[in-house]
Parts: sequence; structure tokens; C-alpha cells
Amino acid sequence: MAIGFVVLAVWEAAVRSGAYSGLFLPAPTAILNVLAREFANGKLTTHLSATLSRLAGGLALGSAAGLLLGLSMGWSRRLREGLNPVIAAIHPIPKIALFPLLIVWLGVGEQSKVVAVAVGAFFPMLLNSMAGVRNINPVHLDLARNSGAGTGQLFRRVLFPGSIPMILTGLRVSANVAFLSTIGVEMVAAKSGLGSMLWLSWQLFRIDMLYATLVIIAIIGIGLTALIRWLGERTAPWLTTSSGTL
Amino acid sequence: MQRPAIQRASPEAADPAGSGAGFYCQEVCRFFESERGAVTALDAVSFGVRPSEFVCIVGPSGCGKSTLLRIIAGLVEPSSGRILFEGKDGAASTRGGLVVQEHGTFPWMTVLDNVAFGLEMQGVARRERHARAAEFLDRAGLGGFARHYPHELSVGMRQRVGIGRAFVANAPLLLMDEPFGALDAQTRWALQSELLRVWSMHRKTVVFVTHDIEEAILLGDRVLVMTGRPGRIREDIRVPLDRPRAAPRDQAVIGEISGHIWTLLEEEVRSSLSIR
Repeated sequence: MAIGFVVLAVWEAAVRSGAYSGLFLPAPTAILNVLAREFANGKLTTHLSATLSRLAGGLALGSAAGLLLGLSMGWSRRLREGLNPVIAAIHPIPKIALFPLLIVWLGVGEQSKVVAVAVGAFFPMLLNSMAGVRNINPVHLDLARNSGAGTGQLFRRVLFPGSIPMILTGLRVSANVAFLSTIGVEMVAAKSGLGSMLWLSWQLFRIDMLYATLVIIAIIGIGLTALIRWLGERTAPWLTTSSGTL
Repeated sequence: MQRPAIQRASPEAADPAGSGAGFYCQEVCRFFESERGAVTALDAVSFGVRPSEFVCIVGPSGCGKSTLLRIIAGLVEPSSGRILFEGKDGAASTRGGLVVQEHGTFPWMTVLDNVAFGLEMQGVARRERHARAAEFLDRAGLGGFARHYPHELSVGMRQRVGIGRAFVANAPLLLMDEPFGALDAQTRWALQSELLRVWSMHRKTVVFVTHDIEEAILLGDRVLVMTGRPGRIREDIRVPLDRPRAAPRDQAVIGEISGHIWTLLEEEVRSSLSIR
């Protein structure tokens, strides 16, 4: 933290002393001023909530779908062999390239954006939860079956908990991609949200606002990571006690 | 002291005070396909186990003893032959009785939940199954670890938890697949006597698979000697030792019988290691 303060102080001093122009790298105080101003007039709040709602909606939709399908494909060989070619075909397509297609199908409103984010979040979650199920130690399944576990109990008490570490990894990647997709989609085709604010700043050559937006985006990224870490600690306490790792 | 002759097993009265169930293994065969063609893992294996008997199956690695155990446990289908259990719901007598060599505890459950797992699958209510599991843990000296996770315990303690689950689940037939195979010798000795102590209280039927000849004789009422490729029961030996077993007193007999068993197995083990 101390190093951070030093960096900020040096940065501020460099701009103020005129050592170089604040045009391409505004002083920290200038950035803070912009943030304060945009918060006060409510614009930042509007953009922020637009971005967060698209992110939350898309992430929830995409990762839930990916989780369900991933667990099913991990369990059922037939499903896995049937769908693997389809997944392999679609997965490599950059999701942002699918966005125009989504606009054609769903219009220019919120739906196409949320679905675009969901598509981004879907694949990492699918692949990781599938791997999670397949990596369960067969001994655990033997013990559960021998104890008389039915399929439902097998899922609830063995397959799902055993897959949680990989599911969390999937969630981390999904959240990452979802956030990227949200900003990307907003830059391309939205009138609200941090991505559109980013693009507008560029268009109007408001560099200080550009940096301010980036700061907010970075803060959300950090918050998202922390949230997932917290979720991991809640759902997988055995990984965080003493010698466990998360 | 007279040297005891190696006694073949013969039909005798079962232990009426025990809570175990018996079964009969009838002409069990197991084949499977590999690149080298059809492999016979088990070749017409037949033997009976009386209620409350402690039977050990000893044999070299790969002889099929684990496969046999898994067939009895209902995890693997035999290619032919069958297991005849006593009683009308005999097959259920294996429920919850499996104990494995490693990874026998679920890492995502506490020690208490692990021990209570068998009961949970049987539909026992949470309060009751936790109470029974806690009672077992307290008597076993593991009470302080009830809320811990398995990775916080030593390997030996994890094995005790796995065995505890089988006893708490009240399975009439316990199937143990080299439960002490991954442990160091001293831990093994400690757990062997612990197992006998707990077993003597309930007298379940036990089928105990091991590669350790002396362990098989120390623990068992009978020792089935298995050879592999294809898997067969070579000999069925009755252990002429009283219970409770005592290491110093019984050492001579154990040594005698294990010497005999080794003569049956040595050839196969050496050839599997390419020792001429």
C-alpha cells in the first residue's frame, strides 16, 4: 500500500510541475475530480447500474446453464459424446463476433446484450464443471454406491461437492469473460453503461473521463474477484482450513 | 511344543453371538477383453463364509482378490456364477460395509458426516445418525475431531474414520480391501489390534483382502490363499489360534503358517518380478 501511495504522489508531482503534459496521463487528483463530479450529477450511477445489471444477468444466465449442462455431460457419456462436437464447433468462435447475430435475432435492446454476456460466461463454466464431475475419484463413487446411494444422493452428496473446486475455477473464468463481454458489447452498441462511457470519452477526447472510467472498471473487477473468493469460502470450507488451498 | 499341522478349513458351528451374515460364492468367473485377447481374472471361484466369521483372502498383486471383493460388494458383475447371500434380503447385507485402501473418506464432509454417511444413505434422520456417529468417535478416541475435515487428519486416522463408517452403518458383512496397505508398519500393527478389538464387540462377518500374509493369519479365522492368472483359491486354511490374538504367544504358529503360504505364492511373485 505504501508503494501505491508513493507512486501516486510521484505521478501527481510530475504532472503538476509540468514535467509532461497531463493530456495523455492526467494527475490522480484530476481523475478523482471527474469521478466526484460524475457521481454527483448521477451519470456515473446510471452507467454503473446499467453495466452491473447486464453483467449480473448475463453471468447468472450463462453460468447456470453452463453448470447444469456441464454436470450432465460429465455424468452421462452419451450426452457427452453427442454434444462434444457441437461444443467444439461453437466454442472457438470469438463471442463478440456472435453479437451482430444476436442483434439480428433479439433486436437492439437489452436482451441481445445480456445474451451476449451469457454466451461468454457459458463455455468456461460448462467445460470446468464437466471436468469436475469426470475427475471425481471413482473410489468415492464406489463407496457411495455401496452405501446404497441413489442417483439423486450421488449427485447431491458426492458429484456436486466433489466438483466444487473446478466449478469455482469455471466461475472465475466465466466472470472474467462475462465482464469483458459486457464492456465490449457496451462499447459497440450501447448508450448506457461503462463501456459506452469509455467509448464516448474517447470520441470526445475527454482523457480524464477515460481514465476515470477505467478506474471504476478496475474496481468492479477487483470486487468481482473478491466476491467469488468469498463464495468459494462459503461453499467449500474444507479447502480453506489449515492446509487446504483455495 | 507340538507343531500344529496346517489345518484345512472344515464346516463348523458359526458364532451364534455375532451379528454377521453369511454368504456363498458359487463358481464366480470374471473375464474381460484386453489387447492381448480374453483375460480370465477369476476362474470358477467358490467358497462359503459363515456368519460372524473373519475370513482373510491373501494373494499376490493382480491375482484378482480385489476384483472378487468388488463382485461380492455388488460393484462389479461376474461374467458367470453368483453370490448367494443368507436371508431374504441377503444382498443388502453388504450395504455400507465397504472399506478401501485409500481415499476412503469424502474430503468435503466433516469426520462426523463421513462416519454417519452409511446411515444417511439408509435414510436415518440427522439427529440420530449424528448421535450414533459421535458415540463411535468418542469411544474410539476421535471425538475431538468430529468437526474437522479429513485432510486435517493423518492417513492412519482417516482409515479409522473409514472403518468407523462401516461399523456405524451396521452392515452385517464388512468387505475390506487392503485397508492397511497404504500405512507404515507401526501404524498397521496398531490398527490391526484396534480392528480386532472393535470387531470382537460386534462380531460382524468380515472378508479382509490383503497381500500381507502374516496380517491375514493374525486377523482371520480362515485364510483363503489365492493365486492369480487366472484367479483361483489355492487353499483354504483354518487358523488354529484362540481369540483374543496375542502377538508374542501366537508368533510361532503365525510363522509356521505364513511359511507354508509363502511356498504356495513365492513362485508366482518371483515370476511377476521377472526373477528367475
